[in-house]
Amino acid sequence: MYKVDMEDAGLFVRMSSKLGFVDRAMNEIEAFVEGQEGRIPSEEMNLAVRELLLNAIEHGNGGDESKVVELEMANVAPSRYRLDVKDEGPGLPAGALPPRRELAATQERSRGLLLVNSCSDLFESAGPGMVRAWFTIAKETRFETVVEAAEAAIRPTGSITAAVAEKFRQALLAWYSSDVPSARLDCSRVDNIDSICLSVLVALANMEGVRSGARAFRLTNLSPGLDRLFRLTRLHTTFKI
Amino acid sequence: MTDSLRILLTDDESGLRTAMGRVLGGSGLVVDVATTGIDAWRMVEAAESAGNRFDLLITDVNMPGMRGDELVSKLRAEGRELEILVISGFGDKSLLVDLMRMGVNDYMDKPFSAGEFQDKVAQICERIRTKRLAAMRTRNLEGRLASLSSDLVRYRRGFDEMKSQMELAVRSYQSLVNLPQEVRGLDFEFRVRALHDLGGDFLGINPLKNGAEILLADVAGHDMGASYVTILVKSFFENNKDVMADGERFFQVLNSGLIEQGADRMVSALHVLIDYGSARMVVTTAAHPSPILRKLGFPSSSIVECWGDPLGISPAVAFSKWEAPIIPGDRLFLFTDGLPSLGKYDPAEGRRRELSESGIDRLVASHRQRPLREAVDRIWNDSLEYANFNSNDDLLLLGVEIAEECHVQG
Repeated sequence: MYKVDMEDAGLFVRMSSKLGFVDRAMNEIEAFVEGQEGRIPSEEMNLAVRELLLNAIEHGNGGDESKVVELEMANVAPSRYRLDVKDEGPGLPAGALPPRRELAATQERSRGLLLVNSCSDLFESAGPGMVRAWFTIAKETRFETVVEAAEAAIRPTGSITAAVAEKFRQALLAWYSSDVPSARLDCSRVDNIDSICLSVLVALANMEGVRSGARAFRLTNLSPGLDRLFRLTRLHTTFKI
Repeated sequence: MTDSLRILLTDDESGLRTAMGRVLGGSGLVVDVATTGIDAWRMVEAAESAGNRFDLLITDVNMPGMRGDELVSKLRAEGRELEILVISGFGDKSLLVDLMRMGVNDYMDKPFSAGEFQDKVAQICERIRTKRLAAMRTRNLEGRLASLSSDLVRYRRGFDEMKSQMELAVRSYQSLVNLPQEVRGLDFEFRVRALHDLGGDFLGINPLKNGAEILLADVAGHDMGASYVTILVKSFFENNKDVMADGERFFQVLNSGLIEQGADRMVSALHVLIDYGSARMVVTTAAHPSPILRKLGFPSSSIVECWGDPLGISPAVAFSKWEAPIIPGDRLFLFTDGLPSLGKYDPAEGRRRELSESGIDRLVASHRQRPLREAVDRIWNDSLEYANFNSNDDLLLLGVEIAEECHVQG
């Protein structure tokens, strides 16, 4: 048995406890999220959802193919998803969630749950035989540069972290090696900047021309959080904000 | 725009030569004059050997001795690259086609006005200037490519060496948090959890003659570069034991060392000097989360207020200093930013709430009555539990307590 029902903001799957159905359900989820977001879920989210389904089949229903697993995924707000997975088992013992990482080495069974815990925003029990996990689809980090009135506007989106440090460096260097005399880093769509990427910014500030002020570089539209970050690290004295 | 261009004007008719020379000179161009084809050829050759070549040759066709078309043919055969403008009075289309084939860049039919001549030359000069610029860009690009490929060779050569260094770095990093077993006059307890094999958190305690100094440092990143800088911090701190610089002076020296290395890594750090002689402690911070002080017998704890620039970024840095008297039983809790950044997701609000320094302050206060070891244990566990045991940074917590015996030293 495999039944699927997709609505505007919700996906419902009811299936027998067959491992083969897990892949099918995963495809369904990918299509659902892609329909809502225009982009597919992250590897981490896929991993967590797969673990939850496998756990329901193998441990919740004890591998009994006649037993049913139900999955409900709801798009509760832009980029935010709630996933409920229900099986016919008694559910996890009290105190099993959240799994403590310190116990991982000794507890053979909780490994999958540890993965779900670290790959989701929140992982909790939701009644007998049911667990709930929350996910946020992170904004893609992109670097777009537009030249306006002799100033290059570099407009990143999402989180500027170590994973995109090289792309970030290239975006800054593209301006530095161009003929455009000044640039601004428009942070209106930036969620956060990690210390590695702050170092990339500082490296730019130390480059010939930028340091002397011959090539003007400034930051604009910092969120209160980013503003705090620049003050805490005292980089507000290095950059024109 | 055209002031650095050199022009060679060749014509056997002196009237025309003078008129054209006057027009060119009026445009601010440097003009040399030849009266015969053979003279022109010699002058081109001499200029090239002198490294001061002509950019443009303007020549008449019909001249005694070496004709203009012969001159062009000879120059091109020798591979001379200057632009050539031919003045022709014949209106002979087949000659014109031949000249173009030889590599003449432009021509003018006689008669023409001074204005037409001036426009034509200006047009050619503009073309020369554009070509020069393009050639310069190509040369720059080639230079950059050449330096890139030589870099690549160096990188490849260094790769095997790098792999073994990487393994060494992992081992070195794992031995970074290696505190002395005992420090006279000071009890301490710490918890540490590294996110990766390589990381940037450092904790060190130097026992001093009359007290101790503590350093917490957090280098940006979790890669080999971070590990390298962390080792640098460690070696500076170990040397400080002998130099006995205070926190501010130590940070100035460390900052210069980091800048000199050109690591471009931001380092935040916290230095605590405990001096039994004066029964005081001094806290200096470099953009690091502030420690939390629990005074013995006080119902609450407090966040130490000080500020300072991060290290490794700018040669000019400044730090404030926080000082307080100490008595046995006073405690200080120090942590890197992984701890206050621990967070949990609130499904109702759809956002993450961080534990923050004030959250740790509350935990310190609520466990203030417990023995040091137990207090550190509880603060550590409560912090992790707050984040559902999820963290995405290195975590480090150190609790220190002024011991009774410190009085004996003073």
